[in-house]
Formats: sequence, structure tokens, C-alpha cells
Amino acid sequence: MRAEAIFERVGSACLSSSHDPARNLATEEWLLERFGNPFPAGNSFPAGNSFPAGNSFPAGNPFPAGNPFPAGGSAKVAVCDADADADADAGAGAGSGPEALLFLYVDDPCVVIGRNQNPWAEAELSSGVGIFRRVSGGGTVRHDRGNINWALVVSRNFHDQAAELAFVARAVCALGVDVVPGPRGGLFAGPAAADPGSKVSGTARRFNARSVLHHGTLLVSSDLGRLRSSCRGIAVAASRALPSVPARVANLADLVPGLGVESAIASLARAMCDAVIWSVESIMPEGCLDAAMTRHRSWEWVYGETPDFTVEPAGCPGSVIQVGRGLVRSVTGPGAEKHASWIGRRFDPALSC
Amino acid sequence: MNIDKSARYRTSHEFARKDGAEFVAGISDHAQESLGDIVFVELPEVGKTIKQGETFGVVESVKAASDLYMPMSGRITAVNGDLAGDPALVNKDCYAKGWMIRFAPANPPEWDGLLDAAAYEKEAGKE
Repeated sequence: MRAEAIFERVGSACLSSSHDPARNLATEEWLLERFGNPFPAGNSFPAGNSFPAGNSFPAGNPFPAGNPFPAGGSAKVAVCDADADADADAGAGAGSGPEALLFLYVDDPCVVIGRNQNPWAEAELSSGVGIFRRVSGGGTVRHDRGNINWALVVSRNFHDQAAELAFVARAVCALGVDVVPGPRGGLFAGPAAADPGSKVSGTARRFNARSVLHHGTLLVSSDLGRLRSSCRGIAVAASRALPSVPARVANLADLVPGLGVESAIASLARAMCDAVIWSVESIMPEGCLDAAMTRHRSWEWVYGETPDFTVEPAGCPGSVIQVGRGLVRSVTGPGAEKHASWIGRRFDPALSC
Repeated sequence: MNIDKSARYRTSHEFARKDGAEFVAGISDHAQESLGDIVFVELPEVGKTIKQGETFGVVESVKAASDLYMPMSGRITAVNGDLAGDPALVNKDCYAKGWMIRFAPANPPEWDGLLDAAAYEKEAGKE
């Protein structure tokens, strides 16, 4: 399946104007979960009991087609649906809705680790920047206002990693830069670009029973110095967590002079979806993200979900702290007796003899 | 797609198979194939009670994570410790050496609500 086939399947696109990483991560998960349910005919978006009866989609189109960006900032998210009219005409019981949707967002500065990673080992936690654990696999990335996050939610029936990557690459190429899919599902500057081989997009996926979240970063004008310095953690002795694979990165703005995040988002949205625009606030039930946002901000999720690891506390050569679910489970070696009180406490890299 | 005919399945691709008074569970051949090379498996603590449909663990293939859903309610009596060092066992032999958990059922009739091999094969064939 090629990029063109994906384009035809993308029935909806959403843009977020929230820059809150917890909200945007929660939105991705909500879209993934809702997408797993069959779509009622005439409704390109997964509807459910939580929507007002008979009015699960906003009446009318608040934004003109062809202008994916509403002027001003009041519309938080825009949703386009290329097939909205056709679906509405088809009547009840017809069709099962689109097979993919697109979500684009930009976060405030934060570090985002993969589902099965160790935040202490992956991130510079003393910098005060927020750290989040996403539900997809893969390695650590940094988000900031110079980075665009793209997310495709695709039915498992039609998920095709290579085709989806080619689809995103094609949209990025439309910005005027040569990018090609490369190792580990990333997008890289191609031979015709200024800095061939540098990575501009890292991707990861999350499977649920019926659908797949396939998402990634896209560096436009990120602070690459901070990116490198934030993705650096403590040394752990033994760990079941998955380590990141560092790459040489580049900003698209360095490859396409004058490219900005706003114009890049508008261009990507146009290239990835025949845009008709909807506000997501009128689609997402009030409060539907609250639980997920609370989880994303909790110690239990970000740290407590860390796979077991061991570490040598500073100043205690030969001692070993064993950490399970983020808590100190045992201290062995010379510091064992002195530091028995650490057991049961939340692990802290500052623990030292 | 390789199917264990003696097992029953969830649409989320976990299988359960009777083993004496207990059950053994893991993920189907179709699931391991669609995930690709599995590099990480996180399993629950022995003794934990988990309801049907709740997550009992996480599996990650190259940069793709999936939750594992309990096929039936029960108390975990054993987990496959070999998977920590060799998660690829799930790819090689998902129904036998790549088993994930053993559990004592809390509500045995839940078995009747799972898909039998033929129904699961039909369901998975849609993907």
C-alpha cells in the first residue's frame, strides 16, 4: 500500500492549540480508544453515549474549507472530514467511517519517554522540565514549541507502517525538503537535502485491540542543544527498561530557510487531509480527558511504571539499590545496614552514602 | 496464521488454555506476527488478582507497545520467567515456550464467552 492509499483513508484531521503535554498525550489516547469503536454512519468521528443524542457532530462547519487555521486562538482543535457530506447522505447503517485520522499538536518544552523506559536513565531531571511517559514504545524525545507532533490513528485492519511513513514523508517533502523513511521508523534528510542522513522525525506506535496509534516528532525549529542535554540521565547498573538509540538530528528550518512551525502545520494538514475544519471541543465530551491527564501528571505513571533496575548509590562503591515500580526494594553491599531505611521509599538519584 | 485449537481467544488477541484446574495465557500467533520482533515483556506479580479485560502486562516490539488483557478473571499463580531474558520466545513459540501467565480462574464460566479457534481465526483474518 502506498502513501496515496493512506491519504484516501484519512477521513479526519485534528489540530490542537493546547501546548499542555498531558492534555495532548491524553487526547491521542482518547482518539485511539474511541477510534476502536465502530463509527455510526454520518459521523466521521467515533461517537458514543457521552455525546449529546442526535448531535454528536457540530452543526455546520465553523471554518471555511481550505483554511485549516482559524484566525485567532479560540478554536482549540480543528477537525476535517473529507467524507462528511458523503457519509451524511448515505444514511443510517451505511459505511463504517474513515479508516484513519490525523492529529497534530505542539507541546511546551518537556521530555517524553517511551512506555517501557526508565526516566532516571533517560532524562536530565534536575533541569525542571516536565517529564512524561507516553503509551507507545520506543525511545526518549524532547518536545518544544519548535517541534510538531503528528499522530495517525489507523484501524488495525489497514495499518501499514511503511505506507504511513511514506505518507508522512510525502507531506514533509511538500514543505520543500527531501526526507526519506529510514531505520527504526524515523524520517531522515534525503540525499538532496542540506544535511543528508540527519534525523528530523522519530516515530513510535501503540497497538490496542482494534486500532493503532502511529505517531512521531518533526523537528522544525527545536532547541537542539537543549534536546541533547535533556536526554541524558544517570547510569544504571542493570535494567530491563529499553534504552534510547541516539541519532544525529536536524531542524527542518535549517534545511528549508524561513520555514516556521505555524506554516509547516498548515502545509502538513493540507498535504495529509482534504481539510474541512471542526473544533474538537464540540466533539470531545467535557471532562473526558481528566482521568488520563491526572495519570500523565502522576508519579505512579511517570516513575512507578519503570521496569525494574539496579543502581549503585553515589559514594557507596559495591552497594546496590534494587528498584521495582519506582520504589527501593533492597539495598545490598556495604551500605545495606546503614541505609535500610531507604527500602520502600521512592527512588531518588540523590540517595548517597 | 498458526492457531492453538485447544485454546480460546479474546478479540484483543490473547489466548487462554485449560491446564488442569488452571489456565495458561499469552498472545496469539497472529498478534506476535503483527507486532514483529518482541523486545520486552512485563508480567504481573504472582498472587495478583486481575479481572477479565484488565491489563495484566505490556509487550513491546520494536517501538510498538501493546497492553495485554486478561482473558478471564483470576489469580496469577505463575509467570514465564524466561521471557525477561528472552522475549523473542513469544515470536518463536507463542503457545508453548512463549506462554506468559498461569492463573487460577475466579469465574470459570467466562471461558464460554471467549472466541473458539474458528471464530478467532475469522476475526483475526479481517486484519
